[in-house]
Amino acid sequence: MGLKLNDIRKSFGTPPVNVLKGISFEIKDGEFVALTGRSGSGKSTLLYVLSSLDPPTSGSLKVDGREMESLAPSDLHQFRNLHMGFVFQFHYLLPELTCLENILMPARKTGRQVELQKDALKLMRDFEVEHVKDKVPGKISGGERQRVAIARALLLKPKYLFADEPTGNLDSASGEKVMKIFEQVNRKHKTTVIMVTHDMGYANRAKRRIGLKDGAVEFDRKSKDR
Amino acid sequence: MFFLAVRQLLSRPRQTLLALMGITLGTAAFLTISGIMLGFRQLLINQLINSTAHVSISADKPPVTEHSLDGVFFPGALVHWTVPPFAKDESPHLEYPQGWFDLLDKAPEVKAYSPQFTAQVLLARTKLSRPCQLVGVRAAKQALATDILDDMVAGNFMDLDKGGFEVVVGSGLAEKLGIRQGDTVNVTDAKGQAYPAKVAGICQTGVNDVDDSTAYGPLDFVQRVGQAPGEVSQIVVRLYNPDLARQMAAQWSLLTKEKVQSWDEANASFTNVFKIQDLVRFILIFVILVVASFGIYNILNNMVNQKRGEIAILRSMGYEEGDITRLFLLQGVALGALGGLLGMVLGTAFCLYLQTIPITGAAAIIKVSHVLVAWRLPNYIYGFSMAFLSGVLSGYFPARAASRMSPIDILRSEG
Repeated sequence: MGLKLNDIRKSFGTPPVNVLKGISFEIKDGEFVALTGRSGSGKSTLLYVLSSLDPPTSGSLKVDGREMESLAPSDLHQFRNLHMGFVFQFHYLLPELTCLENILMPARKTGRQVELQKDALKLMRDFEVEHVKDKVPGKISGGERQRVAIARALLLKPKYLFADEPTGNLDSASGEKVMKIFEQVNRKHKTTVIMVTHDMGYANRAKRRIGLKDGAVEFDRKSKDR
Repeated sequence: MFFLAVRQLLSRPRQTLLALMGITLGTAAFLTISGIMLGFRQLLINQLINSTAHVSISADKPPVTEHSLDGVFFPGALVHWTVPPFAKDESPHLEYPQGWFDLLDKAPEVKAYSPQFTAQVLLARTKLSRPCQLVGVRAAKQALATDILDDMVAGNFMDLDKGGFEVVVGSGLAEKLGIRQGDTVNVTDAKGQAYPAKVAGICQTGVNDVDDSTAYGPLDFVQRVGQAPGEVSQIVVRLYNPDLARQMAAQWSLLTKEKVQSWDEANASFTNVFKIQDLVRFILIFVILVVASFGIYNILNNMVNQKRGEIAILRSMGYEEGDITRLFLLQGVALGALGGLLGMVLGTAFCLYLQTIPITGAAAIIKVSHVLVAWRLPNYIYGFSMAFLSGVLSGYFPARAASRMSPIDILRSEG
């Protein structure tokens, strides 16, 4: 079913500044989409609207055929918990918890932290961070933190993974590892990945690239070889 | 969220300990102050009740004035006095004590009563003399109506009923005059006539005012000294339930012009002091806990501001506003509850220690050997409740602020 946007507009402040100016497109299940554009082009705002964290000023967003605006807050929270994962430029790991406990936080919301502990450890193994499972985030490297944050986002096997500049704070080696994880979850688990990046090298590795300029879609290209 | 709340508290041990100390010390201070205040108060009340009985019925005649004599000398005429009369009855007495005896005998609330006659005398031994209130009693009745037998430190109070001129002297008075049991003292009345009396014993009620100025003698002996044979100036009444004292006094007041007072009315100055003490006690604990609450509020508020990003990620994971409220509110509640419990333990320890401290010095109003502490469950309930409430209130406002944060606003401002 995927995500379907129709004439999405978003404005802030008084007088209103229009950040998104009537954006319409569709993202199908299993796609790997890179949202690109210069600073202030509206790509992060679009990602937050797509992920239902930020409601649009006007227009409609359908996720799996459901109008997100019409969902009750509790249904929206549940939907986000079960079907969406988030990775941001900063890891936002809880500093007082160990890495394993951090990964289990989404499961704790529904009381499934014990049941999903094996899955969490498997993710840590897959992402080569199993050795830091009992360490707090302050004691590990930036790249490891970001991979722990990705593991946290993927624990409940979400259908959609939203990433806002996930490699922005990482060196190239760590950034490469993150990109490989994204490609892997997209390929193996058919997770729909929507990633904001201004790095064209990483953007080119996505199956589809949507370029934004001044709040409007500048281009929407698909890679033929992927 | 309890798991995360506890972990967040433990991750800041110094701040948590500081907040905890505020609440703990506040609660402990409340329990200690309350324990001591109420301990001494209870002793004072017991001793006041013992010395004044639950209800006292006494003669209360207004002074004689020019209008008291209207119609006596020149009926129907308007009298102008060159020197208007003004005088007080020399020996105020109950008009019809037998009526009271009959009433009290029948009243089911009354456990015992004792008729008394009080005379102002001078008590002397060798060249030393002291003014004193000589209270005439029937020892058997007085023993039932008051705790005088427990207050005897020497001799036997019941000897007053033997029929001779014997007196029981208050300990302070005895000390000032150098009197021991078995000595003979001179009781001098208002007109200067002296009566020798044997000291049957020494009593100590614990209330210095009483012990320094009171002696007891046989009723008929004191009536003779006061030149008021057969008269009764006061009846002290003991009830089965002291809490009914005010009610019974009010009820009996309706029957007479004489003065009927419950023990707390007779000692209104003390009960007013108790009320002020209570007010001071609660204001003090309120101020201490408000300061401690600001400590918790400050810590949680800072934590909320520092954890904006983590609040945003929790919200993006599907945690709701209520979850975020609970996360910070639980921390306030945990600090309040734990601080309250530790405060109760510390307060109890303080009180146990204070009980061992001896009291010395003549300035004491009441004579006790050690600091007194009242162990009362309501003190613990109040103390814990106030600690808990301060934790809840100081946690509520930061928690509400955190829950109202929009995850998207946080992410935008952090980005």
